[in-house]
Amino acid sequence: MNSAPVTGWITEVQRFSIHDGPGIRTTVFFKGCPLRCWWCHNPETQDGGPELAFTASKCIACGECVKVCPQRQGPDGDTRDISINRAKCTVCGACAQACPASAREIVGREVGIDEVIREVDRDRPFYRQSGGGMTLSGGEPLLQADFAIGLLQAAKTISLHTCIETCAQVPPDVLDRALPLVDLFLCDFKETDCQRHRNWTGQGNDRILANLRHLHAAGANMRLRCPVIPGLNDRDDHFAGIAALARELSGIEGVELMPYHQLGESKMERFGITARPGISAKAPELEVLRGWIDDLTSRGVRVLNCPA
Amino acid sequence: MHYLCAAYVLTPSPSKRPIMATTGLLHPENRTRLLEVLRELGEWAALGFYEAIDLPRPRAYGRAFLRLYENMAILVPEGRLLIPCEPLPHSRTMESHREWFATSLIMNFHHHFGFHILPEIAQQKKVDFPRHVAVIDAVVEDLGKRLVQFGGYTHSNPDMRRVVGEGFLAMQRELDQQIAAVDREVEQAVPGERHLLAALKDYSDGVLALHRRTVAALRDAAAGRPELRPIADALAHGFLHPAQTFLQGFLAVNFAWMLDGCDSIGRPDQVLGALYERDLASGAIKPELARRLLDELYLSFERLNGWNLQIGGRTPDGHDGTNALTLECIDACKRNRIRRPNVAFRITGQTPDTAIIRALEALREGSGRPALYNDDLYIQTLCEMDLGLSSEDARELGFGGCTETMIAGLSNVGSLEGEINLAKALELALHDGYDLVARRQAGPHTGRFTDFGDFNDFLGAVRRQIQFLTDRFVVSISAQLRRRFEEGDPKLYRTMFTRDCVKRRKSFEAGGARYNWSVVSYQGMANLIDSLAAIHSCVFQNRTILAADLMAALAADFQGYEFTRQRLLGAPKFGNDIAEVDNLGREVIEFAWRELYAHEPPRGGRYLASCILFSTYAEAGRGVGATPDGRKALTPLADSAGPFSGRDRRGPTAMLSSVTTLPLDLGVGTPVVNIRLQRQLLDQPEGLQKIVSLIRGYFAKGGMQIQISVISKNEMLAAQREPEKHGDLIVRIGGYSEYFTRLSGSLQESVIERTEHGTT
Repeated sequence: MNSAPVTGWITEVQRFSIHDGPGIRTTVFFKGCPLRCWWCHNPETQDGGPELAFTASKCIACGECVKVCPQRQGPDGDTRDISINRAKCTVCGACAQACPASAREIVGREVGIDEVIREVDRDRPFYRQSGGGMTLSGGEPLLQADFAIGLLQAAKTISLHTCIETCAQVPPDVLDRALPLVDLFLCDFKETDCQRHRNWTGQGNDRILANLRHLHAAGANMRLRCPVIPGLNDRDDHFAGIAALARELSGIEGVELMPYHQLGESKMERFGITARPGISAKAPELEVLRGWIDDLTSRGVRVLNCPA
Repeated sequence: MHYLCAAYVLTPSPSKRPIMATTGLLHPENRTRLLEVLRELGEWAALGFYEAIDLPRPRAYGRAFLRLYENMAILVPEGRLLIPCEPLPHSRTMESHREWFATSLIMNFHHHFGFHILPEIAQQKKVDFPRHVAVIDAVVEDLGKRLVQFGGYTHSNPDMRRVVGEGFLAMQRELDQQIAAVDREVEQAVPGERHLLAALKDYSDGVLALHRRTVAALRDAAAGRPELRPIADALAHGFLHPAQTFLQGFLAVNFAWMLDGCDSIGRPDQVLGALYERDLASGAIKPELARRLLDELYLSFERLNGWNLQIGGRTPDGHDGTNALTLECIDACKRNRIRRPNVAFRITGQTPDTAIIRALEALREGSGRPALYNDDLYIQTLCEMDLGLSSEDARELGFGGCTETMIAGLSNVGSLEGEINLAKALELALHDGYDLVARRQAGPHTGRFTDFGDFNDFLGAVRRQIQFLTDRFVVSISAQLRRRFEEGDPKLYRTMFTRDCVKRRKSFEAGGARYNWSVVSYQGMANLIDSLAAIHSCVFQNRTILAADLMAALAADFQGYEFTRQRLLGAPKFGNDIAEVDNLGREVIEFAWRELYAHEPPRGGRYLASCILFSTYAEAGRGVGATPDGRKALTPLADSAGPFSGRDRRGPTAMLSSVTTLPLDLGVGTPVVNIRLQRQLLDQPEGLQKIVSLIRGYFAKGGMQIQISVISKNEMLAAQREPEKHGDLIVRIGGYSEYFTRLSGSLQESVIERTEHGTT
């Protein structure tokens, strides 16, 4: 029984992550997500496979990309037009390889567990000093369940602290497999109202809520991470919902508020993704955020971060 | 260090005009008349110098100090408590090269140059004293020949432990005992020793005169400013005798620092910390007064071009030395947003996190101080270096100037003797020994680049050029240093205030200090490493660039070769924790540094490698043509031992991991590493704690030193103009961290705006 080694698709292994759990951490960003949130700040992780990114500011307009593109019928094509026809593009990567300025890049690579763990392990002295470790994020790590579980097992073998950031829109049995291997679950809770949740993310929140209750019942260490999107979920009833959920899941460490920021927009440009309707939001004002923190605190919820 | 050029600016060019009428003035028969004129000119040092001009050489230097300190004006400016506040009267800073000097004296004094002539002041005095023009010209010409400057630059930390713990009278007693011993030895005594000791006797009598006169000036001034009375009383006792209070000790340190010409002061928190804590507890000193004195001291450092002070670190018996005064020295960095003193915070395994956080809070204010040092690794490395150090003395390690490693109060460290440019070695290897900028054959023929069969052949050529530059450097600096020890200023002030010089009856310059070594700085490390990695990957491994094309691109400074340059820029770079690049770096840097260790400095001890560039990396690049890392000709080289600016793109842990791959312990002269952090990373308690972990993790991996600068708006604006140079700039957006240059234009604007809010 010689099974093939488990591999997975990721965008990057990011060192010195200091907002994804305790201490200094290394975060593995998985590709592929069951949700399509309008405010997504990592749009390059939504699709499960490789994608072609183009950074206009790096391009020196040398035309090498067009010369090698199989969709442009060989080297005789017009090299002045260097725009990407994403409808035709097969993400073969020839142009990215030819680009001398790294203006074209393939984002997303298939990696093995050992390769990732070796990279993660390089910052061990910093984890030891800070109480940090490895965080799986994305995308939705548990969408690639075997790979995620394999990484967590490997991390535990070398005694690393583990976190997973999950949207919880996953089969409960996958959560059960992860449970004994995860020191801290960072669970997104984006919207209380199921219909709004479906409208803005593509899925309702009933399964998510069920999974959060399930994790809690199973004794998982948890934090709720709640994005604050001005004009969408910054409503009294939603914060009341967060407070109610936090009180119900009495064993959680607390709530982290994640203020919306425009990082996703600039990434969308690079991936040729059209911006979502209804998102013209600016980052919430600091004062407003502090107001919501006070609001939650007055409802008996422990807010863990102080956004600045 | 990098104001080395000042030595040559200050050295007068001998006048070519023959002065027949005045040569007679310097004749011994006219000595009395000459001395009268010098007295009238207020040239006190020259007066003493010519008084003893016919005695054996060091005597003239001793007499110069004696007359200077007996006569020079002592100023007690309004509002200042910390007196004296200048080492010579009417001093000011020369804006051109930021050296301090006194406007009142042609024969001037400076900690490194010793006595020297300032021609611009001679010009002024000729205007003020038209009847003495001939004498002034003759003296300037004559002293110009006698007070010659040689190569190398020396910073020092006077023996403040002894000044505070024993007092100057005890030091003078030791001198008297040596003089008596030499007198008893009559026959066997080495004549030079007797003359040196006699010169030191004049010097120390001068010091006592200056001390007496300073106390008197303070008492006079106290008639109108009663706050000066306790200062006068404390100085009257303190400097001469063991300090009994913090105030006495602090004033004694300041007085000795003035005598040394305001270089560095060693470990004030260790020398004075116990007195401070005791006086604080008894109420004998109020923290407000201590802070005012510290602020005045820092201001003096800034104004007088003073250099370094060290805080924290191991005590001689091995405990962590952090105390209340350590924290006050840190907070003074926070209050005073000025560039000096360079404050070196020695962090041990037992330094409390709270003290490091205080340091980070000071750094957050943007003055770049204190710099942080891995104390335990420094001590261990110095002990293993075969420098003859006892562990007690190794724990007294300190830094002079920028950060040249020495032993406070116990050492003479050439700092810096000079620099070796590794980017230049690379250039020579690429062009068969030909210097593209100087346009001449500067190194040995090591082969044409297009003829190298594989990468290792080329690496061999690089090694030979490094070897060549090292040999050439050592030969030239050794010759200069030998002349300096024999013909230069014997530095009586340092001989008196550096331990063992008097006991050994040897001047500071001649090797009297307990420990002698020399620090040499290496330039262009990351440019060499990145270039080797690019050549390895593009020319030999992936063959995406032809050897001939690379040569053509470099010769053309990439004009018309932007495609080639982009390929080179795309090759893996140092600072990203990429094993193949970093290992290549370790191999070649270790070779370069071991080459240096194969040579012995003329004063004994060792040459210590370092990488101390600070602002000079721009200057160093002006002599180097285009390099295969994509750097254009004559542009700045890499900043110290860190990656080339903007090329570390995988965050601080990866950058620091790359740096620790280098044999940093061999670079114990100090391998400087700069890291830039965004202010908001240090704004919250948990952020501060994570940066503490980052520093401790770096030290655990073998990091020696780190300097943190906090991002300013100007840097972000520069990052917008030239994003390729600022790829490492980390900013926080919302609750996340991201690289500034990865953000879209509008987002960058919003971050810049927000930071502005944060800092106002």
